[in-house]
Amino acid sequence: MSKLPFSNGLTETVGRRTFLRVIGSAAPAAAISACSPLPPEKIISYVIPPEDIVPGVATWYASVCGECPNGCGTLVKTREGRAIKIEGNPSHPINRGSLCIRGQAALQGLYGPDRFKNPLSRRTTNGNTRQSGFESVSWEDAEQTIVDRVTSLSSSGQGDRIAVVTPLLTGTLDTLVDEWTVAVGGARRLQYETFAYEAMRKANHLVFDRESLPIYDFSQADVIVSFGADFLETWLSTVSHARDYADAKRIRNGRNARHVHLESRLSLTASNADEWIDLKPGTEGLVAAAMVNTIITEGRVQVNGISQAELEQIHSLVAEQTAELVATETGVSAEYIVSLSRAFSDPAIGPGRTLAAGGGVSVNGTNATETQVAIALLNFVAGNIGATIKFMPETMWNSIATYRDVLELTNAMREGKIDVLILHDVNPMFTLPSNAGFAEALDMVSLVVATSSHPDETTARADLVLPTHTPLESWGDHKPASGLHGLMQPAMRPLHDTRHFGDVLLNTGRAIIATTETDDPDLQENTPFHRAGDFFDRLRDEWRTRYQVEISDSTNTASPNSDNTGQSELDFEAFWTKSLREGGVWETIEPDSTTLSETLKAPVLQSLAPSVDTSRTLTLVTYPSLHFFDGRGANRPWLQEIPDPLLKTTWSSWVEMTPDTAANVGAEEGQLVTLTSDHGNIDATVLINPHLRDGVAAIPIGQGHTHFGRYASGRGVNPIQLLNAEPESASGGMCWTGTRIDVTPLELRRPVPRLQRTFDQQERELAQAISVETLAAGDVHHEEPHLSLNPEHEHPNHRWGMAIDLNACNGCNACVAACYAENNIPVTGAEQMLRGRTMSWLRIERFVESSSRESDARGVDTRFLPMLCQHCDHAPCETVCPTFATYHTDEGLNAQVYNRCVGTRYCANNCPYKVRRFNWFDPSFPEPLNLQLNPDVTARSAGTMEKCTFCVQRIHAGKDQARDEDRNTKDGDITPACAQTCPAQAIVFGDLNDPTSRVSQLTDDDRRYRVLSELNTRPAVTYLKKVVK
Amino acid sequence: MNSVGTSVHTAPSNAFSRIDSDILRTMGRPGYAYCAAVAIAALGLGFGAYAFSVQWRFGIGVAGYEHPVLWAIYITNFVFWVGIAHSGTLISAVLFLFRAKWRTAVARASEATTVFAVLTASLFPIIHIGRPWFFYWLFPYPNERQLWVNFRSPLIWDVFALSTYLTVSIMFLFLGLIPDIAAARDRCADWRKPIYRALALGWDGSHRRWWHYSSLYAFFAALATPLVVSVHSIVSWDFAVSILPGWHSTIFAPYFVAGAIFSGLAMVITLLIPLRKFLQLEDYITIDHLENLAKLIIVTSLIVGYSYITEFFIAWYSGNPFEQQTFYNRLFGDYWLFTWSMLICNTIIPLLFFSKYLRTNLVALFTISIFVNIGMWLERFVIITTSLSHDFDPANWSGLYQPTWVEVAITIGSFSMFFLLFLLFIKNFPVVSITEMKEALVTSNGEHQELRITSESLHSSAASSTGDSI
Repeated sequence: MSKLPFSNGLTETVGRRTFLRVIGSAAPAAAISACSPLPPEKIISYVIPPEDIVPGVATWYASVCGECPNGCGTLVKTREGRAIKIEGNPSHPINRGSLCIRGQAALQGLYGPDRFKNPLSRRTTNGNTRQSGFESVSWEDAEQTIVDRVTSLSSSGQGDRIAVVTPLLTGTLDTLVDEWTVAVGGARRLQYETFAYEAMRKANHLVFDRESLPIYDFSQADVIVSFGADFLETWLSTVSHARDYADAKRIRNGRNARHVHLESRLSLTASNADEWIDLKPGTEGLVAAAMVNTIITEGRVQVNGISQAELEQIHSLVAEQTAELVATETGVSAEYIVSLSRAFSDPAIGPGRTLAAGGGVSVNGTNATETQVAIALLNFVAGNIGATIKFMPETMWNSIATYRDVLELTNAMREGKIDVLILHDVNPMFTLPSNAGFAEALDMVSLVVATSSHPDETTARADLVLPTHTPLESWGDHKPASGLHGLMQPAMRPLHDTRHFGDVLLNTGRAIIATTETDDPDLQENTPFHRAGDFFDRLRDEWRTRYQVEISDSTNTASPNSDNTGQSELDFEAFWTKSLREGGVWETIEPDSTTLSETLKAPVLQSLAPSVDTSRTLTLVTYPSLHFFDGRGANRPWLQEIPDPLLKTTWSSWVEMTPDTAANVGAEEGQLVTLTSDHGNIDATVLINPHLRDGVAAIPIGQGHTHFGRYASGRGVNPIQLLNAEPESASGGMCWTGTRIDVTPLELRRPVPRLQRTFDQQERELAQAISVETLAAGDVHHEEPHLSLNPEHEHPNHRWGMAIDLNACNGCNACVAACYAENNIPVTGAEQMLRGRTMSWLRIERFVESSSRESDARGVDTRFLPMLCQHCDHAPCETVCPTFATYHTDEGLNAQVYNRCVGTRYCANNCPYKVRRFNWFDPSFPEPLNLQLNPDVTARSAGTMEKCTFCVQRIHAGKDQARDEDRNTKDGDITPACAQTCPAQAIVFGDLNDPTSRVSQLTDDDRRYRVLSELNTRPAVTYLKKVVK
Repeated sequence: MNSVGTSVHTAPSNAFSRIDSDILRTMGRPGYAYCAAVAIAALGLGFGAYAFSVQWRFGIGVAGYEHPVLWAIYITNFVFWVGIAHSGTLISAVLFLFRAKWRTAVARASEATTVFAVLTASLFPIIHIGRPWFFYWLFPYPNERQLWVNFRSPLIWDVFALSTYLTVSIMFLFLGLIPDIAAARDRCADWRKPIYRALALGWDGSHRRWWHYSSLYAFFAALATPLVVSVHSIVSWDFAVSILPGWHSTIFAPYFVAGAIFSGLAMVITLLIPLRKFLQLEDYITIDHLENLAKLIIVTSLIVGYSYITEFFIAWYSGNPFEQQTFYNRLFGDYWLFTWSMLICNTIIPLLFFSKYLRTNLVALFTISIFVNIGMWLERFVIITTSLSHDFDPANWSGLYQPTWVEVAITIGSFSMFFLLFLLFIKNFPVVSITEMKEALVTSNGEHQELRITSESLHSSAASSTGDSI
């Protein structure tokens, strides 16, 4: 200390030298501190490092995705205690290592900058105008508010004046909610999902006596007929379907599955089909019924041991629907229906080798249940039940409330029968039609409690907001179907002062129990509210029971001393740890045998034809958005930024019309129009989409939020406001489709940012296809590399390469989101998108080869071309960079040195693939989104060029791992983020120097080609042609 | 050496002194109009500088670039100003070597145009790049990191071409100025005198000096001549060595050189017409001189027009769908208005100069020269943006690129900077070469024999001017 200039105080004897020394050392310090507005940071190393955290080394936690009810298994990558990436759990039987775009974006739910940070309570700020605002309260006060209100009701025997609405829950939390409703004296409970598949459940009930949803196995189907089922987008377990579908489309023995899609709009799923039939909206059931009729009359029923009585029973239902009769109503010719029926029941391929899927939303009109009954019958007569369509003993879908149940609760609220309403993670203010009256009904409830991690339209109307953990911070379990027990564990500590919903229930439940002592001895003994422990302990209790089941299942193999409790507890710990590590427990459960319902009778198909109100001009089709699902994804900036797979629009919503329809209503692209239905009106921007039926207007669901955070609010329109609040009579579901609307053009334009303006590849053969016959005949041609004056690069160790199978790629954008997450790609926003300034390293180009209408199919051949840096051997970008900021590595990578880039942008001009992205501004990651950044990847600054690196950080990690294990890298060690998540397994990465690697073999495939090979850039990415019929 | 000058005629010394006083008078006290012009130009430059500071601060995204149009107005301006520079060298060096005497009157202004245009142009690569604070990385300077530049990159060739051109054109301009600066030094009585004294490098008009001067001038003319061809060839290779349809073309070098001279000549006419009026130099810069420039414009316009035809023909004849689409899009795509304007301005309007009336009419000369300037700016804009906006992959195609105020301000700033420098030059240096005018005077007086310069005559001219003050 004594050597410091200040040691003895300046005042005593400050000599000239001392003074200069002090000034000399202090001035730079003063200058530095004056320049820096940041407070000094305290850097404290771990005194006792947490067990799981090794700086610089990723820790992975197996968990369950919480973005939709399907329950895909995840592995969450954490670095220094922060979740930075989510990948699919390879051992999970549903998603088998893949995740969809929404699952990839779950991180932005965790790090959402608009999340609630503490409990909020509504306080009236102005009594006269009823203005009110939220103020922060403590958790104790917030929970006490609930306890007080609930206690006063339950102690007076008015427990039914309490209602709890949750999304679809399974497992421990579901049980706990039920126990809570019992403990407070019989509160009502609903599990509310926007897309509840009521009609499918009802139809299965009518046809098979099973009010549930089966599992659809696309991999075993040779003919897939989808009646508007967007099974690659939002319809049931999409990641699982995508993998199976890619399997079905793979060429085996010179043939692959045929996919026919009947829907009035070309959805992403339809654009993968071999034939797209743009039938009249709502007439899908007629086609299905006519197919059933044809199959029966032609004697092609593929069901073993079906009785004549059953056959006649079915036939009597569809006897009226002959192919000729329905042809005029549906717009599909009789010949086509007959030929499709024959293909669907082809004895040559055998029974149970086809699959008909009925859409969840797009066929949900007023005749939804009838339509689904016809589709169920079609599957039955083709022998698919139990083969490609499996009913499991239990599925989670049974417990979901129908839309009608929600309406009933709304009515009860309006009538003042509900005093306390707890809304957990649901957003009915957005997902219910406005004339369902939910907003008015909420006003009648004296205490509305919203438990959610983020603000939305519903929390904005709540009296009390309890912030809950996101799934990534939560313990939990999820049972999507029989035999599947996913275990959800938190990947990191909660970011904010939030609590688990289960803990909120336990805390309040205990307090309520304590004040209202019940005489019922059962309750005293058995409820979790009488025991200590938090939700985590509760979860372990449940799993201890689950473990006992496992033990008893294998009784005889267990040791005779297993009744030793200490040993058992040790065994349980091992079981628990194993389940945590693997993400759950999977058992193979045989599907139930399913037979026709004995009560199946004529009236079920009475109103199969849609009723059309001719007083309005267009039929409205709403469809769930691949990115936003029912709207819950709209506050994730990646999902807003990544362009729609079909229309390549971003940050927006719109109304689609064909050119003819638009001309008829007097609107043009980009023009704002007012859409009016009997139930509401909205203003939307017109987008011309030729791939729609004339007379139909289509709007995606998911945008049009008002209180959903900075990224979603005020963006686009919510088409649910146009829909009829009246449920479909048979099933009680929402009528998503078939509402008739009028269109009034406005003198306003609001451009929708689109990242691809033409879908015509101008015969440039960028996305190539080959027919099955040509491929089988071996009539394949490959362009050899041209000669070059330049010496070849040498790749002594590795030559990284990629193969992308265009026949597997279905355009689902999951890889794009994975790339954003892995590589710290910034989001630029709507305004920048109007100038095409996306930063995405990987884009899915969509090209449409339209041919003349053959038979009934529209002749639309959609090709998805994932385009990323091709890592060319003769890269045009490398020669033109003046500073060597881009160069060729000896492993075949086209490297980009951000630090050396001055930003001339010549490389991007000279790149024929245009995959280089320029940082027009410094990227912004509003806190705490910055916590998601991958520390292994440089965050780039303004003025530099960037592009796909083949995930060079993963290559290094793979090589490091191999070196640590004293071996060479082997095929499969290294997988880039895009290939890792691809649900269709379309992307394969590996070492081209290794002739046995999968990528080397695919690079020699008969379908191989390289994009723009005539330029002789010699890309490291090989594409495999799409196979067309 | 003593045998020199016996058969030499001596020009009337009163004519020489009139040249002195006429030309040096232009360097006198500025009028209000001049001050206003300087103020406007300075304001424009300041506006541009402010816009650049905004771009520096927030990132180049404040400009209107639309992916994939990653080069736009800044590179257009760069090529435009490099092009403008070319006529100066052509007039002063090439025409000097070819002994085209009429160049005398316009050579100095053209040389100044060259220097200022190159100075303006050389700012644009810096303005254009994403991280302008690192522009010096484009120079192969020795550094401790042992990083080197990529000599295969045309942008590096640009650095050399441009710096060479700037150096040579400054030296050439300065060399020609030395005797005139000496004359100014001798007459100057205000604060500029010490500057002139320093710049005159001790010129004393001795025979030795003249001998060195004239041989050096000829030498520099010879050195500068290949630059007329090489610099713009290299600039054209910025485009031609890329693989982009619409850029990748073997005719680019001659096409760009011709275009450069074409635009440079037009700019010289644009500058000279007001200059000779306001500085009362009609006797020195005559209609004949302007007419000669107009004739050169016809030649270069025809070359440029021929290049256009070749480009479009080859695009069609090659059968290359990428080329065909690019050129079809150029004519009929989003940018059709710019393309057709360019074609009309560059290939139709200049042909009006076939009319003797029009090429000797000041208004027509000025107007047509403006059209050529616009046309040539558009040519670069069209080549750059249309080719980029529609290249190989249709999924990337963009619509019409729309610049923002930043790009407009910086473009205005560049013109302002050029005019400001030119204005400052004409008030501080003889805008017509005194020396060469005197030589020309001799020939125009009817002496058809080869002009031979004597040290005496010229020395006396320099000396005779000492009496008057600027």
